[in-house]
Amino acid sequence: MKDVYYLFDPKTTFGTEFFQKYYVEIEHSESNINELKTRLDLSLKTREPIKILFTGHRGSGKTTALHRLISKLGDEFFIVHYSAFDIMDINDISYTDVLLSMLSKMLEKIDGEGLAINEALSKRIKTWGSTIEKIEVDNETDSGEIEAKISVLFLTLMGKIKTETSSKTEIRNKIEPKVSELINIINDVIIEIERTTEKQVLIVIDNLEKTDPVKAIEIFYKHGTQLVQPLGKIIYTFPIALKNDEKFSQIVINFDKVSMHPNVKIMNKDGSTYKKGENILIDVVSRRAPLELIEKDAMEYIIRMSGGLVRELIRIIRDSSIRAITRGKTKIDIEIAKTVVNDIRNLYRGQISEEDYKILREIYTSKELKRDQGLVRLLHNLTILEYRNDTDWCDINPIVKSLLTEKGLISD
Amino acid sequence: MELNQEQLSKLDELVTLITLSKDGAIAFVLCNEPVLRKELYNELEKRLENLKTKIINIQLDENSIDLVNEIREKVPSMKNKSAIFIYGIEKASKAITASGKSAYLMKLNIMRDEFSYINQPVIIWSNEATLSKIAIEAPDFWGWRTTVFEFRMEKISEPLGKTEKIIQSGLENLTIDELNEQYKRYSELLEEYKNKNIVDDYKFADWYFKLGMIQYLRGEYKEALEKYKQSLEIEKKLGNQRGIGRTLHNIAAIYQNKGEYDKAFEKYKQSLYIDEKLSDKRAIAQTLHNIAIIHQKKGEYDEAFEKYKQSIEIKNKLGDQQGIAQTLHQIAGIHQAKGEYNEAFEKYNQSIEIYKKLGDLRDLAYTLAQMGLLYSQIGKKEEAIKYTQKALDIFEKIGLENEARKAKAQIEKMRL
Repeated sequence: MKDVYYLFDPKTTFGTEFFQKYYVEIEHSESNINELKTRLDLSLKTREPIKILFTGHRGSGKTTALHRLISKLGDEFFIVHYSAFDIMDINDISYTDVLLSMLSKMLEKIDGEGLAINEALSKRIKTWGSTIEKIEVDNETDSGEIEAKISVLFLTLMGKIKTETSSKTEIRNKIEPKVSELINIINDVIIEIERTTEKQVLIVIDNLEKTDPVKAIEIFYKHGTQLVQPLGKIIYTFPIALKNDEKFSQIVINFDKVSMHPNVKIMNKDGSTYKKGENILIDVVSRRAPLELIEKDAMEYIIRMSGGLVRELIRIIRDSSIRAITRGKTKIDIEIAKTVVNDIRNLYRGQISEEDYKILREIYTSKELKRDQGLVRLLHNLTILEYRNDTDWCDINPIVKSLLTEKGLISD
Repeated sequence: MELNQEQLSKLDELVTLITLSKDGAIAFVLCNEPVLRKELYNELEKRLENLKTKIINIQLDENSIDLVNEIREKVPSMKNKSAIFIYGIEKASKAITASGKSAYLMKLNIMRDEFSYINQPVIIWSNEATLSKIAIEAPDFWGWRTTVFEFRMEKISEPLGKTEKIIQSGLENLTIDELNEQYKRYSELLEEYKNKNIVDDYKFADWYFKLGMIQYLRGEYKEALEKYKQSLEIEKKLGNQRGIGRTLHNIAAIYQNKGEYDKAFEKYKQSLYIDEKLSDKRAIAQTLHNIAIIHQKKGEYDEAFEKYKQSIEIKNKLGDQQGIAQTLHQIAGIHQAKGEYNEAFEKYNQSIEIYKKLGDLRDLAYTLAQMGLLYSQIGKKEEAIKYTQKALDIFEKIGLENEARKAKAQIEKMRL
């Protein structure tokens, strides 16, 4: 049972070795990934600097999907793939941070791979950097000593923005009027990479969707025009909640494609079970632990309550394993699963206002998504989940559903 | 405010014309700034009084129909020496007929011959926009004019820097050496890609755009226009709306710079249409700002003010501080031209505060220089020198030699 605890870690998103062992192909998800791959492959020939918004529910497997996508892409791409967490303060990101992070990460990869970058450009980058912030770099190396790597300068700068609130504002204020210069430099670096490697640059920024919707609007709505200016291919992760914001139609104008990573559908729109989806999730579990550790009815219940969110599924099983261990049980049974789900439900209870209940009730009957400010929040906190087959539809999170029953808003 | 030497000598000529014209004459005073007009009038009144010549003022408005009639009504047929000053032709010529032309100017054109029976000189005061309208829509009347006396207010920022805002390209702040280096680089890249048979239209469009931009910044407008056109062609092929929009905008800026305002308007309108389709607020604000500048240059202050206001509203929403400061600077210029000094001071000061906060020295210097002129206009010599000196210090510091030279000359003049 302890192994269950270790193996069911909702924080884990898969690296390569995890991948081979635990990855389960999910039909919609896989076709989604393949579609992206095709689009990117096509853009090789035209050299189109395609800009993609990639979105999906928290815990639906976006990070995994991006890893999967990258593993499928060929050698023609020079891929710069990183997480917003690594380099930015996720609670406070500005569009200039995003642009600067691209430059920093490209330079890091250039340094890491020992690629040479032409001297004039390198000098320009340094000069630009030093107008933003004086950072001690020993570039007086006439004696042929090792010159400080250019990426260090920028990673240090990013570090300051991430951790020091006072420098953050100051640095941003300095970049703001010089943002076009920054974009030029990014473009020149991209060109430099493409010339020396004969590959085309693809930048993938994961976890950007974790910014709260207000900040995300700042970034994607107000500054979308800047985000699409780099002449490389870019995949931006994007908060799903904004898909239902009234500004979304304006946001997408700037981008070439919006790709929605689907949840695993475990029920049809009419409420009947979708066996295929259930089996996928069972497969996800069985890759990690012997199925005997979870009683059959408990398993069914957990899958239903996950709403098709892989991370939610993993969380419920992990919490259940803790409870089972504490109670000296060797299996997760339905009673344990139910108490665990109940605890999670109580967390949701605190987040839902009277106003929200009205919306939820409406969604429960209509299963249709509308452009609505109220929905943005509910999608963001996973109270409402979106599914896809022939048409997109949505439902309330099964854990939340019983809160509505409790209130007498819907019958059982 | 005092008239400078050049303005005074032009005024002398106008007085000469008035005294010589015993059988009448049609002349124009082209002057955009109300505050300058007032000063000119005061000076004229003084001189004509000494010459025993009476001034008869006629103020037109939107309801005016026929200039000849108005003159006949107001001017007694006495033999006294007098000059007829006409104001407000801007307003009178606003109403248009079904054919899109000014009714008032049409009438003026038809009635031309009647002017031969008016024995006093008729001096029409007009702004630039209306004057060109008269030339086009009342060509026969226009043909009868004797002289156009042009008066302009001194400005330090206009001949010094470019006031029309181009779409930011990150090249604006580079020195001439850096610009030359970038030019070489983009040309070489184009060459290299073409030699390698790599067709990368997305980059080519950008590179042509950048090359055009550099040439524009170097003042090579004709060549810049060529490059922009090449870029535009590729952007159109790619269907890249944003690229088309920004290129049109910069083409417009070139026409604006050359003073070809109609062509500039046309291109701005096209780029504005695309910006609005793309909901590119930043570009919209920038284009409105430029359109306003054209109105301002033509002396159409109401129209200019309206566009500036729209531009600043958008910039406020975007939090575009630098843009706000630039527009405030322009609005201050309108107040200054109208002699609304308190408002002008207020706006210049707001603009200065923002530039200081942003550390935007270049723009700060221009606004400081403009403040210096404003102080000089209201006779505060010490303050005037102080501000111009501040501007001079910055110009020297950031290496804008031309500007520094002009500021220095300005200070010398203020010291007199």
